[in-house]
Amino acid sequence: MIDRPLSTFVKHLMPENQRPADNKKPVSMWMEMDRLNGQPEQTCVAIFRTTGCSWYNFTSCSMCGYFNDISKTVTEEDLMKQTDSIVHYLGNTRTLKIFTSGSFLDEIEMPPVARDYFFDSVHDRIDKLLVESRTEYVTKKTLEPIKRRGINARIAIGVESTNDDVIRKSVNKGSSFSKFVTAAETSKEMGFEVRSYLLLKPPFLSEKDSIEDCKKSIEMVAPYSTDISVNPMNIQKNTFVEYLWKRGLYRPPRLWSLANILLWANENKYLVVSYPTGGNRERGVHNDSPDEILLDNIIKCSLKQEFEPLREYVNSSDLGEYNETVEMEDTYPLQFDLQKFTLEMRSSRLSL
Amino acid sequence: MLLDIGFFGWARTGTLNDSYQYPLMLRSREGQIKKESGKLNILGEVFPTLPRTEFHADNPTPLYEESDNILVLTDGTQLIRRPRAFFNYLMKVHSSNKYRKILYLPGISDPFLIPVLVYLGISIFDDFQLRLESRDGIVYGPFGITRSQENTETENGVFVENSLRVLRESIKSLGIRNIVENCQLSATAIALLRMSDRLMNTQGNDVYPSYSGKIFAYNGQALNRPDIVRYRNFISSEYSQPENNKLMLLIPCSARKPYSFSKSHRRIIEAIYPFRKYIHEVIVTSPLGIVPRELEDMYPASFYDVPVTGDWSTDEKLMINSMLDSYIKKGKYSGIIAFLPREYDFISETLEQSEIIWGNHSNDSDLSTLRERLRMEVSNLKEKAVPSSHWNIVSKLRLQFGSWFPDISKDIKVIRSYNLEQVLLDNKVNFVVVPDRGKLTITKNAAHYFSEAGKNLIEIDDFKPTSNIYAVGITGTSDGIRQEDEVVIHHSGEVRGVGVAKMPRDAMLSLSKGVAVKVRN
Repeated sequence: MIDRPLSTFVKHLMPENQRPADNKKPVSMWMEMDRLNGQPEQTCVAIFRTTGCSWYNFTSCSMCGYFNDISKTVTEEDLMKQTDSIVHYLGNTRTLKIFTSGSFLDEIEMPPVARDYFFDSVHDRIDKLLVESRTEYVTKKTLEPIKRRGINARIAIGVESTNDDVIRKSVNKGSSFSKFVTAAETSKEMGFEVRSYLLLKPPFLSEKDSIEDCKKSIEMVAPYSTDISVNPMNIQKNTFVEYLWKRGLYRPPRLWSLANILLWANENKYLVVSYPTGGNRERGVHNDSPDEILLDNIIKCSLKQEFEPLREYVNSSDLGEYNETVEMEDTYPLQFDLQKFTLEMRSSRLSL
Repeated sequence: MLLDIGFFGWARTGTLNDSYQYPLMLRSREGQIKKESGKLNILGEVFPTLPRTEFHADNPTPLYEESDNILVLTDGTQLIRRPRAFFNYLMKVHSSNKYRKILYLPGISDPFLIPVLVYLGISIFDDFQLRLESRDGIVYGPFGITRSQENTETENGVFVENSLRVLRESIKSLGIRNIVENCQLSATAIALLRMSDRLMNTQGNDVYPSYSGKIFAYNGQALNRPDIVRYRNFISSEYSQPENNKLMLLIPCSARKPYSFSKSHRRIIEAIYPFRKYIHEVIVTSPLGIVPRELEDMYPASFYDVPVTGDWSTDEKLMINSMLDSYIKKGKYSGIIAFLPREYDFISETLEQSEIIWGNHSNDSDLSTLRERLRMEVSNLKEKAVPSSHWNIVSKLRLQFGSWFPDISKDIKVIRSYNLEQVLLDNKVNFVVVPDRGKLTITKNAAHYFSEAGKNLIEIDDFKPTSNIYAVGITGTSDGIRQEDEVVIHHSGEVRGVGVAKMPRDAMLSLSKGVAVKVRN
């Protein structure tokens, strides 16, 4: 299930010491739009600062940089203080998404006392709660406290890809498709919704292959998912993907590829959203030149599940170079960023 | 299957699988590089481990991935802007590959970078970069890049193909170094050449051929040409001057080679003629530094061309002074006289113990000053002068084969036949001086010198060599054999012939196809 050399290598990239942080405050909180209740609405997002994902003791996913935000000294009291901040920030907003730097349902990362304090603090203030977890912590036992309080929840699971080879060799997740199926079925049985996250363009996959991998994964997770969120790669600090990227051995996906997937999913009646992090930036999903209209279309169409504007924009654009590049990239022996390399080399030649 | 038809150090040219002449650029539109059932396919050869789909942990990745005849330099592209790291990586690949397969560096089609990469032993490139650049209207041209509004893929393709054709020819004709050194339009290429010269000259340069035709020393990098550095090292550390000539006369070089064919040297020789047998004439020059007269018709002394301005670069001054200094310290001359024009005044510090006559060959009174000075000096010499022509042969042999070569000056006879100097021992021809190649060729009669010293030996299977010996027939060689060296061909202690090495030693030992030795009968 794991590629040991890769796991070991990823571990050695992770910083040994955490940045100093205020354990009593969440990592971050903000308001954004999402559609957890069938239409776009204001949603509060909060990231608990925790002792971190259980996976970090061993390694990390190749794209995950949340270990940069953990604090080994966070206590139950700190987590309850953080809950107070979140409740205060939530105000009248009735939809809440909770992230940790790992799994909310992991009782070591989020001890029962703090977790129950959180549930008790929010259960009558919200209509919908989204929490994230690795598959192994999605059990009847961990879901029971949510159910008991009558909280309407969506369990978000990072599937990334349904191809176990990709999970092992590219994502380094230590998971599998069958573990996802078990977790999703458990959630359903307990009466909860499921959001599946898919990763667009894990390392070592060409853009073309990654599009295929993503579509295939959408087909496979759809029967178990309330909705599917496609996350195009965003390069975070101290990650394996950053290591490759800095050496010119990785290029984040293009916006055109993400649009392609969303339009395909829409045509095939899958409920797929994408709210890219770092869009149009060097470290995030971007075309050869920034395209704010395209990114905006992707987010807005995802929210409304109304894809005509995106389809029109794509159909009226010249994708010749994009298609050519993606085809070429698919035959490279390695997934290097040849366009960036070529541009960097260009200046060191005699030119007129 | 690889069939090599030419080498120049690591550079090689030949045919892959009877169809593709390398060095070459893969045309991706024609499917010369493609992905088939998830595997990379290059010119019909399948790579089981490419495209790379997983992480390789060993430090940090394997050196390369391979098919039947091709190695893909998986780390090369990311290292290319770090010349030292790139060169060291490439040397690791070469020492592991030993010419068994040809090397492909992905992601490069830059025609200004390709020459130095071919020189360093890369045989396959691809057109991905060319397609990306052509899309942006970059035009490759003889003087660098220009820009166009159009897609320039077709013309750029032609330009790169033509460059590769010239490079293939230049490997066969041994001229590739001149191209790499003198066509400098890319900073990356220049950095790679400089680093390669520096590391080759310090780590050993046995792979560089011992002869490469005319040397166009048109810019500063010629100072670091491996064959020129090799020559200077020999003069500084191994050369010994003739015992019987005790007075050293330092004179300037000339544009015409050998120097003594030039007008300036003819006038100097005419002036000093009566005393010549007491004198060892030594020429000061760049990029060779110092050329003892008897080596002037050897390689590289009679094979270089430099732009003559009378100005010397700082590097040249430094090189000449340090070489002259060690030459004088090592030498056993009774006296040193220099006859030099004023533009050589940068060496006066090194020559402070010696007498310098500042003068010019075109000035009769300067020449007579020189003559009178020599007359006086020679009358002080007690020892009887001995003609040095036999010693000159030994000196040439030592330059060519190494300082191990025994002093046979007392035993030889030198005759002229068919306008060539032949060196006889016991009335048998042992060596022939061939000025066209700047060397002496050896005959079977001279084989024992090499057998006894364990030098320049090729061991073959049990057959009678006729015109060519193919690599497959070679079972072993002595150390240090270089391409273009004279060699003695052996089988089980029996001399089977003599000839010229046509590939580097590692290639002889690991290849099965291709001409390894041209036999002379």
